[in-house]
Amino acid sequence: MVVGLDHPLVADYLRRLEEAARGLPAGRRSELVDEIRGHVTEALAATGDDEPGVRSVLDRVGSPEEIVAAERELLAAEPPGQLGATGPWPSWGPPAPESVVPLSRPSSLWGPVEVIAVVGLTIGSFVVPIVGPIVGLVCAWASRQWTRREKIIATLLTALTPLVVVVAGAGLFAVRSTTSTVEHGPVIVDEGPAVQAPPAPEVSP
Amino acid sequence: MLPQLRRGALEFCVIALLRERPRYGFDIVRELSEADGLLTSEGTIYPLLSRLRKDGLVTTTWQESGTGPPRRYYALTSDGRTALDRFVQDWRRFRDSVDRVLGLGSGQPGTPIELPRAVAERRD
Repeated sequence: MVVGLDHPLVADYLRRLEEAARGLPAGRRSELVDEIRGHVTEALAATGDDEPGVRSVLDRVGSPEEIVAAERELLAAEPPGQLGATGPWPSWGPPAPESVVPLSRPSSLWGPVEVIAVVGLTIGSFVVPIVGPIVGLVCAWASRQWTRREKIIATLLTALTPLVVVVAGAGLFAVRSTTSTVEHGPVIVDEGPAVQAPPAPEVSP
Repeated sequence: MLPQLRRGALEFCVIALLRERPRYGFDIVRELSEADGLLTSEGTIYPLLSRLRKDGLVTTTWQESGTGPPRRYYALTSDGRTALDRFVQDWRRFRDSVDRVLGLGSGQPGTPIELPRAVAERRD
């Protein structure tokens, strides 16, 4: 037997620890008891294993209940390295990229910001011509649920709409002013698909 | 000290002790007990070490001790090192800000956390 571990006080302490650790996961339970046993062994070797020595060592180690409570608390604690994050602390911890970058998108793509964005970019364009699309764009870029790519598409579509209208208008004007010229016919036909191509509803005019 | 505050800092004090070389549990405790008020019960270091291991901030190996049973040594991982660097920065900022509010000004605070206007004015 290792020095001091057969002292009745130590034996009693370790028995109480095993008892207290009963609710812990099996592997961790025996590991924790081993760790404390090892610690007490080291401490007794340093302090001396007479009764005052044993008492002072066990006193410093802390009660079994206290240790098991700490184990439970830390098992249930927040994500990696964020043990202090629940207190008045900045968010400390490892960069842990996988916990920073969300693995999947939020379940709903439609929050208030997204709805305002779509309404602003579509109906808003007619009701409040310039302000509507601007508000829509601001909301679109403020969205946390849309990806960057989706935001760029929304912006491009919004910017292209007036352009398409202008081109289509110019085309019609050209047709009207040169109604007799047959060669200009295909120009309008070419314009047609260009107007219909973008999928968003705001393109319809 | 506030339990919350102590616990949050203790985690990184343990990590900092491993910066130079791997250590075993009793060795870590011995170093920590030099600092007053950091570790209330020595035994609670093991749940903490277990958690750090689970989070990948430390790794462990068993080594013969020569005198007694084998010892479990804890070594810092690169994640642990990164976490420590971040803590050191945050800690400096946090400490300077608290010092300033408490009127314990330590001369040149780095980049203090922005204080509410009322608090900042009262301080002046």
